[in-house]
Amino acid sequence: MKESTKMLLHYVTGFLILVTGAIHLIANNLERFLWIKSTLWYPISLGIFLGAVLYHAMNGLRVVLVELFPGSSSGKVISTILVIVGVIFFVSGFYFLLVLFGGW
Amino acid sequence: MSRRENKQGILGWLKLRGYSIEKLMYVAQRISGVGIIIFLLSHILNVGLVYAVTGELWEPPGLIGKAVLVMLGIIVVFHTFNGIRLVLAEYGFIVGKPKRAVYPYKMTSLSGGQRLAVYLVLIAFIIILYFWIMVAFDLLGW
Amino acid sequence: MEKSEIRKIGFKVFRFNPAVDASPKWKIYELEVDRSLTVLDALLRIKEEKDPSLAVRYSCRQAVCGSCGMMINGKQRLACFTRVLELNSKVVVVEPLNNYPIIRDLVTDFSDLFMKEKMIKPYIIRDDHEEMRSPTGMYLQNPEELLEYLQFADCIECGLCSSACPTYSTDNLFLTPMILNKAYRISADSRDTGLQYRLSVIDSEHGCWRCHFAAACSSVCPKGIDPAKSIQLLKKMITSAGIFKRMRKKEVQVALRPHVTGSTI
Repeated sequence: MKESTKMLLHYVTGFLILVTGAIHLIANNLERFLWIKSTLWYPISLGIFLGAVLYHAMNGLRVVLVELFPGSSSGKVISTILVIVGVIFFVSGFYFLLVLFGGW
Repeated sequence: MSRRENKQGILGWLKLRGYSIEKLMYVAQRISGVGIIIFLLSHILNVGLVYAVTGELWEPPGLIGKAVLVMLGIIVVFHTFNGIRLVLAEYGFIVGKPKRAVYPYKMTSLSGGQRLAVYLVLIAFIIILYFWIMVAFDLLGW
Repeated sequence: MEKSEIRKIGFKVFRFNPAVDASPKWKIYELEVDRSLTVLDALLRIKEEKDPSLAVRYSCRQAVCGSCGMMINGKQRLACFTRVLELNSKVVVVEPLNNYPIIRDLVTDFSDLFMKEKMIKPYIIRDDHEEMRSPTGMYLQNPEELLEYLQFADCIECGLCSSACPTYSTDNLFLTPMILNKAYRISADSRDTGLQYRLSVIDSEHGCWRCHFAAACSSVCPKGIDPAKSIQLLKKMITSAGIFKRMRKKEVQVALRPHVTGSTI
């Protein structure tokens, strides 16, 4: 994947986080909006939020680490580790979503 | 020919005197980003392992819990609004047009639309952080 | 008669010869300074009157060659472009530029930057090889097209920008603001059609995307180049070329030269 594509995705996920994150915060903290949590769209929005925030976070960490430890081999190691961490948290987060909203 | 390496390393990020406010915001964006990641990963585990079992999120006790909430507000709100400014700048929307360099030089990327965006980010940060803190301390009737 | 202000200023100069010294040291020289004296003038006077062993790089002494960049009172400046009394300090601290290896005293090594400049192919690249081989005329460019890159072509390659860049302070593979500015100057030129040949270097892990708009480069540039702006415009160019797959610019007209048309009009 080209670097420009990775960064474009970084900004796109940033926008998705803004929208779905605002929904998550409002639905969990403001009493008059608590009803959002019982709609069908809420877990879908949470799923998108989970994926977007994990991509944004792992790519952001990759960018900082690759600048602190430059080199083609360290770049590959950093990317691989962060992809694995991201996938682990996405899968477990998704599982928690299913438990909380699907009654599994 | 012998030479001596002269790289500042990460201390180069802390040299802020004499540079524009954008350099400070760059450092703040990085630090807030790392802070949010720490919260994020612990929050996912918190929800899945504590909330799913007990119905309540684990919180640090008493005042520390409230302090964490306020800190979280500061870093999330700043990172969000500064991020919006950065996307606009990095795709060339607010950095200004190329023009002839005539003395005394005025850099359009440090003035005009981009500098206005910096002030808007700071204003939006204060306003939204105010609401965040009000909600965190249950002072808002919503 | 006009009274010219003369003050005694101390110059705290970084002295270091890696071949002999174990560690750097500071030497303080006191000079009588009037309001026209620049830091470069002061350093050369120190060389003449007090310490001939001081190593300083300089050439034009009028801010067009880019040789005399150094840290003056903690900020990147051109020594010939900085008047001592305008610094408003009793002691002026002079050090070599940050982020570059030190050869001796105030002289730093720019070979890393020159290597990166070669990597981005800093020359016009075109596909009409026949015209390039045996030219029939010159490529026309109107004032709007010129303005697209003229500001960035004024760069004197002094290296102050890359010294101030926080990314370059940790990442020695970063292409640096000076080089990225050059890459944009060439790619934005209406006569150039070679962005695709530079992409593998610019759109890489340590290319233009490691810039995060700290804009320290633009705040120290002594010639008004605004490299922060050119790097963001470069990102825009690369991204829209990637999305819209449109790298070819509109065809540039060729004005036929006299040996082809037979007249000088």
